Amino acid sequence: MSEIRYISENFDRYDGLSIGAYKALGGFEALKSARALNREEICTTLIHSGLQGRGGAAYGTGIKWQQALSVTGEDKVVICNADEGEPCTFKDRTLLEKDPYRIVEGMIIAGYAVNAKRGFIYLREEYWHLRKQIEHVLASCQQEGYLGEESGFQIELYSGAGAYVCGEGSSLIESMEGKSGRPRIKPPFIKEAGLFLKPTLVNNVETLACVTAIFQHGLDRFTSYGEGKSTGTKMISLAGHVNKPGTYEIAFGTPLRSIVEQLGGGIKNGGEVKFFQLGGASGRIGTKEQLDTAYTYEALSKAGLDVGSGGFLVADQSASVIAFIKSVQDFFIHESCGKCTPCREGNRQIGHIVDRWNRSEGREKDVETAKRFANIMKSCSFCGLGETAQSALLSAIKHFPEAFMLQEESR
Amino acid sequence: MVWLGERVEPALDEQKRKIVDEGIAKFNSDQTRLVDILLCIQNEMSMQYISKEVASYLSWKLDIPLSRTFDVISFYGALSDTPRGTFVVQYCDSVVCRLTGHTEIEARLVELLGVKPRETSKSGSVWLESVPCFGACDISPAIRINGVVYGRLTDVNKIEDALKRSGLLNSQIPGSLSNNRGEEQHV
Repeated sequence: MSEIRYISENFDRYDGLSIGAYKALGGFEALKSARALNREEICTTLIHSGLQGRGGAAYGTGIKWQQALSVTGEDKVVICNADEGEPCTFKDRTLLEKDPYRIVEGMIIAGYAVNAKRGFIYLREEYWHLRKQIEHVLASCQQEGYLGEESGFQIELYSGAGAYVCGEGSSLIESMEGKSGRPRIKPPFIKEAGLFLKPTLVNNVETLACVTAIFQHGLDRFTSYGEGKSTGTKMISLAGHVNKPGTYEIAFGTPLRSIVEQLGGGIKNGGEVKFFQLGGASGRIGTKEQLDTAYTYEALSKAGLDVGSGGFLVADQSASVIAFIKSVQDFFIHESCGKCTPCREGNRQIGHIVDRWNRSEGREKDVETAKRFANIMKSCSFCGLGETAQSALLSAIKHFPEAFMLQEESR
Repeated sequence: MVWLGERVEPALDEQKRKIVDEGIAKFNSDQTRLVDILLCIQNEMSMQYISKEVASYLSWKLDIPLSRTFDVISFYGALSDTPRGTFVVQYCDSVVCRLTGHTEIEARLVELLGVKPRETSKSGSVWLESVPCFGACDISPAIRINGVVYGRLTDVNKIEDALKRSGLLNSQIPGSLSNNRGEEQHV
């Protein structure tokens, strides 16, 4: 399977620092093409591309930008969400390390498209080691007039401080306002009242990289990849028991098996897949019987799986379903902001049940109770964290009922 | 309305006051930059935490309630209200690393550093803590030492090498630590 180099075309072809080198590779041609269009045309181009947000929520980028453009306001803001807190997700890290100018170019295009003068990059604290590089990139862009007063667009770098929930748009904004990252009620939506209640557009790192690629190479090239409504390519973060974990670019439509075997080099020590989890810790799990599913929004949804953040965790026969579920549960207990009862208490109580399962001390009705609480969380939580925290558990009960029944039988 | 009375400047030693003043100045005394300000200040504190005295002084200077500052410090995982150490060593305790065997790295680190998790070493220079996923799953097992990521630590030698490169471990003898404060490790 040949490597796709579209979003990642500049990887390892320059040092991620030199603006001259970036330009020599075609850098800023996308911005030039975008500026030749008017703002509405940029938005409709993206609508036609079929590009969906790459952070995990998969909202149509073109529509999002069109809505943002239609909001009136003097102080509109564009934010690059580089909080990448989803476990088993590091593709944004790779993009920022290897081709940071591409993301900045995407932000400048966004600023133009929605008529915003200020941009912000919210970089998770765990990527603190990338700050110097990003500051250098912003300074270089400033020097060459792509940013700064001349251009009418400025970008500032903010840091996260170790909170997964700040990957959620309104929590991120709360953090940028100097507060704890607890999500806001919507409406009002952040496109109308976001950062300091100004109209705000938040986009994921990879989404912005795709925008640049689309305007650099044209709509047709983007839509030449993919299948059905899942157009273009996707950055995948493959990890776990595979021989070659890493960030990979695939065309939508690639079968899961190819990703594991050809890109990932198969399972370590010739093992077999026991289960996999797509979309990070908040994703549903699948079994080896589902490996022939195509990686598209439609096919995965039909198979009860998610694209999500593009995370792809593979577990072999040595993995324990219960231990895995405990690791997911511990993560969400830690990361729940505590604001809403369904998530705060739901996670805590399900946590007690998972701990009992982990000690082989499951009680009668534990599975039933866990499922009931999980479904309450799914429908009633205040934000996506609570809504998706139990995706893994619910799918694990479905695929591995014996692992959960055993807990009750072994009493 | 004067019912709250004027706030009294909290006491803080000169060295720490300077750090806080500089942190605040860096962000133009903008209280909305509280998160960034706290991170900057914490990085300059030798035990890499925000003490109550520091938080009180900072709150007074920014004219925000101490409770708000404490809310923020206690909310964010990267901010600490308890003393840690000159070197903060973090290892992942999340989904991917548990699957690929992080517990082994925890045992190795405890052995090499002579500290238990969340306990400062006797010399005050090392603090070991588990943290949620920091996006190094592709190079797991990985650790962060003062914010610098060291990955692919698949055996003891590689872990020791990372500890040495960070300036933490200057000796061949496991468990023995240099007394160097170490410089800012943020790249």
